[in-house]
Amino acid sequence: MNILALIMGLLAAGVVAAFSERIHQHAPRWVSLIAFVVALIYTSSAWLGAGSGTEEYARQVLPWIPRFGIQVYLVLDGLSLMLVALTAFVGIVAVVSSWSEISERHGFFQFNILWVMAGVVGVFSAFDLFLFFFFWEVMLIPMYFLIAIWGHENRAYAATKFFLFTQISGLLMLFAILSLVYFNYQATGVITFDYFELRNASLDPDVAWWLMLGFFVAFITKLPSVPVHTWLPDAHTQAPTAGSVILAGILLKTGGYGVIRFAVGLFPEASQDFATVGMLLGALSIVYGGYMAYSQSDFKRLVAYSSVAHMGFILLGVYAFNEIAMQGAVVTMIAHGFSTAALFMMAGALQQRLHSREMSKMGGLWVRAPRMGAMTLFFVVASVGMPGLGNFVGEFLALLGAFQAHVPLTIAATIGIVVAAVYGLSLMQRAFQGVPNPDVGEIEDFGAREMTVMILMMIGLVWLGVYPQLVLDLSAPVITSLGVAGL
Amino acid sequence: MNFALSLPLEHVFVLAAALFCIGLTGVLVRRNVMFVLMSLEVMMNACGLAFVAGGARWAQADGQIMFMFILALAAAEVAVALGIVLQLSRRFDSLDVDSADEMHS
Amino acid sequence: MDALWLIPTFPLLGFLVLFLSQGKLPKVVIAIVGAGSIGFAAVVAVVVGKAFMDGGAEPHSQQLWTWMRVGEFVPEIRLYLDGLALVMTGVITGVGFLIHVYATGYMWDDPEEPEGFSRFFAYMNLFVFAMLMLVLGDNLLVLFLGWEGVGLCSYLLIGFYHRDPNNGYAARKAFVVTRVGDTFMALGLFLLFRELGTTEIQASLAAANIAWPEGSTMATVIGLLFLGGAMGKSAQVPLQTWLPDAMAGPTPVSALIHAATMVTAGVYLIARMHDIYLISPEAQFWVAVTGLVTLFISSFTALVQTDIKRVLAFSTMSQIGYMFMALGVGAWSAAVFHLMTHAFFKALLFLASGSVILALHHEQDMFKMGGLWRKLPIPFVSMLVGSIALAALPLTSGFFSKDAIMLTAADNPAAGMVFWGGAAIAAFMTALYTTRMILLTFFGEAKTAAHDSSGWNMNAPLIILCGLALGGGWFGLGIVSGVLPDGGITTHDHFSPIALVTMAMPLLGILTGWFVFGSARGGSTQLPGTEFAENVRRFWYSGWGFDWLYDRAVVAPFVALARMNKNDFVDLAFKSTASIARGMHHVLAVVQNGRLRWYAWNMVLGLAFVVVVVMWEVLD
Repeated sequence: MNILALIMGLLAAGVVAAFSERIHQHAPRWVSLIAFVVALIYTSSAWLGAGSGTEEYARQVLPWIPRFGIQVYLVLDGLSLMLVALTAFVGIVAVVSSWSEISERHGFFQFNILWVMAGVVGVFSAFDLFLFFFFWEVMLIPMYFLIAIWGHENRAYAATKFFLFTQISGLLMLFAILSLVYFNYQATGVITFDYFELRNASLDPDVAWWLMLGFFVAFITKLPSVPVHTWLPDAHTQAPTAGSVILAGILLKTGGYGVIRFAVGLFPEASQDFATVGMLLGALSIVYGGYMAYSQSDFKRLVAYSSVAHMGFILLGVYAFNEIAMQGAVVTMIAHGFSTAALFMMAGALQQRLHSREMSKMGGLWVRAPRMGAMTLFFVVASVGMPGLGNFVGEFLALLGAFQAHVPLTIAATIGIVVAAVYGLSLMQRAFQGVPNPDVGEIEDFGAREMTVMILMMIGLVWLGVYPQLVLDLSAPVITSLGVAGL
Repeated sequence: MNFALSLPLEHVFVLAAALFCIGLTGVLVRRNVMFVLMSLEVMMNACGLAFVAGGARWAQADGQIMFMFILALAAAEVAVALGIVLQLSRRFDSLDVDSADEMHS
Repeated sequence: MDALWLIPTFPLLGFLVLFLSQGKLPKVVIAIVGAGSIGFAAVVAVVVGKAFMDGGAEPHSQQLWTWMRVGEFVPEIRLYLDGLALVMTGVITGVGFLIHVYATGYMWDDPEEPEGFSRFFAYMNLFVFAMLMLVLGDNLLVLFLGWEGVGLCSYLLIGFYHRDPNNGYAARKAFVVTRVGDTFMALGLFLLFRELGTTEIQASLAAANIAWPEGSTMATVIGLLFLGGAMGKSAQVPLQTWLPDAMAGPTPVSALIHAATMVTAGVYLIARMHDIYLISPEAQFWVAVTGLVTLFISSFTALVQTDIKRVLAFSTMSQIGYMFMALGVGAWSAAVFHLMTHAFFKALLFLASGSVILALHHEQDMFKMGGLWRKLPIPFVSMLVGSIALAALPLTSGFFSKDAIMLTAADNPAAGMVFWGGAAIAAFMTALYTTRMILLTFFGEAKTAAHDSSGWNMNAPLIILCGLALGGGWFGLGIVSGVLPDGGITTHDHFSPIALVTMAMPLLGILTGWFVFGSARGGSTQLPGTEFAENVRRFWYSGWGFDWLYDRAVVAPFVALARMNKNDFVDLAFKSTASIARGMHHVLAVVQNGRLRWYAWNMVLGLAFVVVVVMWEVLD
């Protein structure tokens, strides 16, 4: 499979979408939808086409700036492949969820969505650190526009906050990348940004520790983890539905992916020294994020904080440094992509119908829109961690593995599943149950378009919940190559 | 090379400095924009005088060349400045520079 | 035997059909699918059970698929059938089927949720599926799947009448409190896996017997963690407070989930993991204490309730307390036996009370009932039969199981007389509150008009359950003898003094009840009306103050802190960075005043400053 073609295709589709608005107002969303469907099929076919035991599904190396050893180095291994597939899928969800929400500048809107996603695909497949940073920035700018132009009442604040957090932490990463290249150059006399070369760079342990920290801060800001999570609720609340879906569904995963691939992949020893702090932040995110979720009265803010809690499981799993926990982190990434994208889609649908995200203005919606109620119930139950659904597999594996590494922190994190029940059910209660709010008139229930996407996500979660082996097999070689001990 | 008068260089520089200070004082204290511009003119000419005197003292053409630049600069400045003066009087109905202090935060 | 997988599959299919049809099927079809799926499961259970018995009661397992494979962690989705699982399966499908049939009548014209008929049966079928996975799973992870699944269905069904926020609150309370227990259970699972490297039930028990010597701390810790899980699900002190509120659900739900099956899952878990408790007598002792405390506290609470379903709820807690005590004193088989008989008579009691409630148009206050025995003969007889079985009058099903428990408890070397004494007082109280309930409900003067509208589909299950409640004790429980360590129910001398006292307690309770409540014929609401007695009544009524305590100690601080911190104090760090930047901006903006001469002055002074500094340097 040709990764560069996939990225270029998405970028080109963005340009086409922008100009297609001149043909018809609604042409851009079709362009966008078709682009993502094609991308999904293309990616899946690469997966299905490869035999079992494949470790690499695609590899492309082209020279870019030879003088500084910068290449267009794109590789899809199992972890990258599944995340790229998830990206294409979340793209579809995002387009569908904003199908009728946007009222102006349709072309530019879809352009931004497609460019974010192209950037994300690049992030997941780049194995040249310079290229990686390039894509990291590519996905940031369109996201900023999505929030700043199509966002809600307080969009300027949210967009700026998002931009500053990501940019400042990105700067730390850039500094770490350049230093890493420099130290490697000092040792070997070769300037290279090649991931595989740099993995073998021999570094002074102290230096490695600081460089690892640079990467770590950038990624946990994106993830996000307590205490650098505060941009997320604002960004989510203010973003248009598609923006929230993308943000939660896939953009946060770039942080988790980065931690696994770069922070741990490039600096295994330094990360091992850092493991307790990583797990502590994970456990803190789980409990504090869940608790903050309960405190919210805004539907979207609640779901946003619940994302913080779920991302905590990723951190906890990765820094437990064993195969079980790390697989848990990977499964959580995929499962959270489905469950939270669905909840944000729901939040968007409610806002479109009620013109409010305040749960105090909802209540009793089940009577008015039973299909929406049933769907919300399903995804709330999934994010509460019900066995048989994807999130459970991820969280359970993460906890099971973490328990082998650090018992007290795991106990703290396990308390998080009680908190999850508290906020999840309180969301359900406040929005859908109780006496129907008399101020809310008839509202339109989900139609075929929304239901199709919802059911796809349901199938995804059930499949992940009862037979996660396909995902586990995809990521197993990557985790082994990180040198994580089995149990 | 000591033709014409043998004026000590120091005297010319003192004169130039005095002129410069007079001009500067004018810029700092006058509120009428016309006077500010005239004061600026005085300051520039003070510089020009210093250049010419220096050029004469060391018998180099640089001093005169610099003076030519200053002349050109003064001409350009006057062209722009008079435009500003016209705008000032038209918009604020005054020639007071402080009347255009709209840029405060 | 190979049809084992079909038992949970039928309820699952029923759920899927009802869920996917989104309530668009005709009611008759819904009823047939809803009850029929359980019926099929029951039939398969009978067939499988017969094959199992014919095969000499040899444990049988059926591999379905590997759930996941991560390093050493390879949980299989495998069903395992032995005597214990068969008893549980029989109760779940058999009693479950009867309750489903009853529910087709009870829920038919539900005034509160006219469109919820399909939803109700979908949830019920899902519940039965989850419960079957719980008892049939051969892996603790599969058990946990069922464990959480039944909790979810319990939540959904308690909150079934979702328009009333109180029901939603009760449902959330049930889910959250049991989740606290689930946390303990999950931790137990993690620990078990760390120590033994497997979560397969049979394999881990075998490994535990080899790895841990008797009295091992590890076994104690795991045993106590599992006990924590069992406490939550089985509503034992201190995690019992959710069960009375769970009565907000429709009555068939209370019968199936909150009496017959789900709440006994904790008993099943401990019986299933009995090897752990054999290794650690300390953990086992605490199981008994938990049971004793619960049965004692809740039997007093049941006495002063006014809502008929709450009486039954506290009674359920108390009976499960007996089961826990039985497990704790080593009467393993008697515990499972009592689980079964309790399922019969408590389901019967709930369904009979459901008929009464339906006839009175959803009136649940016993003080508004009375004189119903003529108008509602079948519910009356059912209630009476259920009550004597609950009170454990000789020769009823409850008698055999409770007697076995109490006599074994008396033999306990650690604290036999305490266990027996507490249980005997509670047995007296049981008979007392049961008598009170019957008298208040069916005798005295009628206070509310009743309309008996129950058809055969409601009466037939009652009659069948009457038979089981009376005769269920004669089944004996030979099939669990191969599974549980005590090798079947221990026989006791029924004419020893202690046995005679045990037998006399219920009779005494009934007589007392007749004198105290019968004379006033339901008029007296409390014991003699002194202030002290009133305070005692209030204390008992509130369930010994647990709710009060938890509200103040846990819920109120939790909510208050959440309100206080709604805007996230972590954000203050970032917001203050922004404010500092903005403050600096204001300071610096002052110099931008737009006055030309001010700028000129600044330039001159700056220049002068530079010149001075440079001169200084040069001169130095």
